[in-house]
Amino acid sequence: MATAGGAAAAAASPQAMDEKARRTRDLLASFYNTDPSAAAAAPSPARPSPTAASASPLDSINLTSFDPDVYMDVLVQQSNLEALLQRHVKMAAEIKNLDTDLQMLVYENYNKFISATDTIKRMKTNIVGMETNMEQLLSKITSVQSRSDTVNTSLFDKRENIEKLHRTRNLLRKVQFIYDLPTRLNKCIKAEAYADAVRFFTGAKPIFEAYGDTSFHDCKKASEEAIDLVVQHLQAKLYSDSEPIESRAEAVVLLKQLNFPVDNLKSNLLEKLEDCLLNFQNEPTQASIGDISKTFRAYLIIFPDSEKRLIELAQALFTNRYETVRENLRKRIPSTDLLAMLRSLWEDATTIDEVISEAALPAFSLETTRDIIRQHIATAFAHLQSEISDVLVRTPSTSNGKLEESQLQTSMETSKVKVLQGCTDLLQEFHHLIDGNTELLVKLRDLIIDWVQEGFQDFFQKLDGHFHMLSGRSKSFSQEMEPVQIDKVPTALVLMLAQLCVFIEQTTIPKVTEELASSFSGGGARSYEYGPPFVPGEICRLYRSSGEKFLHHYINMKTQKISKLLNKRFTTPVWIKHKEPREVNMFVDLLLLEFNGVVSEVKQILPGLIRRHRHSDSTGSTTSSRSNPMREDMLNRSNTHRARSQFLENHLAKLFEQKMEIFTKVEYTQESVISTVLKLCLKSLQEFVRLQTFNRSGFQQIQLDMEFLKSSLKEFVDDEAAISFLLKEVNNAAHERCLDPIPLEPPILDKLISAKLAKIKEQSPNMQ
Amino acid sequence: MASGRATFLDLIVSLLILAHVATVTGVEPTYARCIADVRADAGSTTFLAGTLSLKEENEVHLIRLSPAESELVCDGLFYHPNEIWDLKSCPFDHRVFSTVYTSGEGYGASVWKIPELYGQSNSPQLEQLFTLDEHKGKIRCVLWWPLGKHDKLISIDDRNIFLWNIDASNKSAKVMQKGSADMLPNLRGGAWDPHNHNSVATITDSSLHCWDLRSMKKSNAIEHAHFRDVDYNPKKQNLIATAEDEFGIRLWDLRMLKHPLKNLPGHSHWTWAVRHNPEHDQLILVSPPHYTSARGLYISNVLFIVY
Repeated sequence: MATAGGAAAAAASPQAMDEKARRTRDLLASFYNTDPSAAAAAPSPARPSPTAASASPLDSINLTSFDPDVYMDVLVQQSNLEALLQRHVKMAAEIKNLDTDLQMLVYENYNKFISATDTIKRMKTNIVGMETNMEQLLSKITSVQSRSDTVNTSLFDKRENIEKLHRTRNLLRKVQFIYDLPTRLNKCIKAEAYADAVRFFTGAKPIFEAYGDTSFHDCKKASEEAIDLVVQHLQAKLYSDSEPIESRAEAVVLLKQLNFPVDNLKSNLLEKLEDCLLNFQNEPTQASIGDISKTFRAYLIIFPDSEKRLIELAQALFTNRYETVRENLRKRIPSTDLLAMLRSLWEDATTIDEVISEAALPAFSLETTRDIIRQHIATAFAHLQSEISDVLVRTPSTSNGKLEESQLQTSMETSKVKVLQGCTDLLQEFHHLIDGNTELLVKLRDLIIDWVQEGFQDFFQKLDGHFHMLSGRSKSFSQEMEPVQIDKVPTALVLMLAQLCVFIEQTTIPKVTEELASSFSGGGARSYEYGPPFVPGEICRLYRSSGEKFLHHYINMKTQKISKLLNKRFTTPVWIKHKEPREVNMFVDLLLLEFNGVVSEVKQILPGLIRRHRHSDSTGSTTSSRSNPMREDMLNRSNTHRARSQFLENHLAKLFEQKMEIFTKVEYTQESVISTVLKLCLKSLQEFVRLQTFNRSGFQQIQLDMEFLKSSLKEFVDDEAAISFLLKEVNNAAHERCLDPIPLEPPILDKLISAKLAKIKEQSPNMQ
Repeated sequence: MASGRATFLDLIVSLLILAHVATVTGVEPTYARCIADVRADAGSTTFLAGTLSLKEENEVHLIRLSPAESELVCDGLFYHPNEIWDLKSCPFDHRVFSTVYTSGEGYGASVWKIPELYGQSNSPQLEQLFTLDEHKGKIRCVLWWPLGKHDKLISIDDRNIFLWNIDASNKSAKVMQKGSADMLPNLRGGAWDPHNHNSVATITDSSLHCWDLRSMKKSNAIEHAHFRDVDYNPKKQNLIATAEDEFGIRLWDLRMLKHPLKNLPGHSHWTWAVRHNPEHDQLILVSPPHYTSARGLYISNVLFIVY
């Protein structure tokens, strides 16, 4: 290995070793190094290969696997003569170099070998005197050892004795401690140093457990009694609310050390808390939320592991309380009360939240409050709707004219007032909701505004639907309603609905819109794509069309009823064998009664006609009155045979010249509705007459009835022209369908009519 | 109406014919309550109209729409002994038609044949094929099966419905079946289902009933409505249109009679007649009572409803 070291030294020597020297060293290193891979790996990057581009055999000259024959073959194949010569020269020089290097190495190693021999020689001389010294030392050590052995044996007994004594003393001390334990514990109890007492007791506990049955029995008993006392004290301390929280917590820790079932205690306490909370729920005045939050805090500190349970408790508390509020909601409490409740709850929630924020009470409260307010708004609307509907349903359903006097009128007014007042009241209520400055409400303000607007939209739509249901018209929408019920719907109700629709459209909605704009603008919590939640235009349209529908429905119902009456009148008797008219037929009375019913309903519910309307809407009747004389003329002469051609002429003239506008647009006025009903009925009458064939008496009966109707109907409508035109049409129809159309003589006619009038007069006191 | 080229215009024309009856012929002002299109006449568009006059002589007018469709020509004027309340043209023989008439207190129904005209229009006499004598009571109408040759006839009075077997060559008619609408008041009329010749719909003051002619039993019904007329949809089975006093026109599906398919506005007063256009079933012609009298020439009063 010395040679290897030399090689290393040679390798480590000069820095300025030239290329050749380095190569030599590598070669040597590879020579000494048996590992061929290291030898192959190390030199190759360092040495620029003369034939770097050529194949590997030329490189392998430095490797152990060098094959001279291959090398030569390759070389001879690849190079020309000149290059071979050059290579030869180069190789010869390299070989020479290697030889000198080898020589130098041999010299160096020889030098080292000589110096080593010198050193060995010196060592041999030095080591001779040491042996005697060593022997002396050995004898001395042996004597020391024997001495110490003797000392040890002489002291052994005493030492054992001391140790025994020491153990005894310790034992005695312990025994003493245990005997003292009860008194000591008592002392501690007196001093309320429960912590010490517990520490002492736990120290003594193993002993009691081991020897408790023997001589320590009394002592154990006494100390156990003492410690029971301690436990009692500690429990009392824990239960008493007046103790500082820290000491209560300490008591719990101590109790835990005493292996006392603390979990029981905890659950007891929590149950107590629950009771307390329950009380609080029922009678919120008894305890303040501050106390409760304090308790929560205390328990949190005392039982750090009870947090989960406490959160549950707190959440249950608030859930229950909100539930109570919800229940109140059903009783329809005023907004202010609701707000007060919600506000106090919110405050409580924030208080508790300071103690246990994990319960997320504010978020919960916010959520619940939102729901509650939403519900509140919804119930408010629902209530209003049912109230309105109640007012309407209470409408006296009969149409017996005077018996009820102005009852309809009052209920009409009531329902109008109810609608308007109800809406304004609601708005005021809701105003409270957004007026409050509470943090809670500020958060919900936008939502509330939207809800209110949505609520109104929804409310009006629902109300409209409800109206339709009340009127019985919705049978095509709802499958359950049978068409039979149409007959059961009081007609007055339908008329009231019509008028109410107008009222809502013209008064309520503008008012509500105005109010909403002034105090409930903003909002926008919902996205603008849907537009504003309350669209008065839409609602107005809805009510306008509904109103018209109701009005027409009313007229339809009335005319239908009268049609039935007429149908019966005209289909039952055999007209062709009619007896001479003695008096005005009963059906006229019934007809007038129906008309009276209509008039009394209409007069009470609809507004009177404003004068200027009349001319615009009854142009048709004025034209008819103009053409009236002509027709009268015609009628007068029609029974004379001579006038036949005149008759035809009149007919044709009537066809093309004048078209009676019997059916003008119905308006929301008494006159318009009454006259529409009248006209429709008379028209029906005419058509019924047309289907029959009369003898002379039958014709005369019709003539008489119509004449009487003419005088009676005057009081109902002021569109007299149209009525008398229609009555005449009836007469004409009867005339056409009569085999022997000879009218009654005017005196007889007058006589019969006045007889009827007298009869009516006679009866009228009874009727009232 | 010529089946091949029935257009909606034809229906309008039918109104003009009433004017024709009243005026063009230049006779006394008469009223007509009924008009029928002669379906069996494939070559031209012709109508039959019957007058309703208590005091004058009654006539049946055969009216043809001239090929240019601009003029009405009276092809025949036939004396009819009584005033005509209902007139129906035979759907398979253009010279045969039925009438319902009153004479004094009695009602009657007959089937008539128009004699060969040989150029002159005032042919004196209608040939009475047979009368439905066995049917007493207030006959309302006679129904032919609308689509073609069928040897049955229906007559309806105010309480009963009769099914007749007719034999035009033997000039005889026999009652085959009779059904009674016992409790129902006042049958008013009806329509024969073109899709099923065993089914007829009748109307009363307050209801509509469908009859099965094989058993003469009522099958289904619409209650609580005041029907005036009924017509089957000529193209679609089970669909009918009704005209009512108060609610205008309603379309029904006979399989679901609880609620109408559609409510269409009718006249401001009663709507008395309703007919589908035979080719375009979405066109409905309705008329107020005026239309059935010569007086009701207000064309504007007839509504053409497209749905």
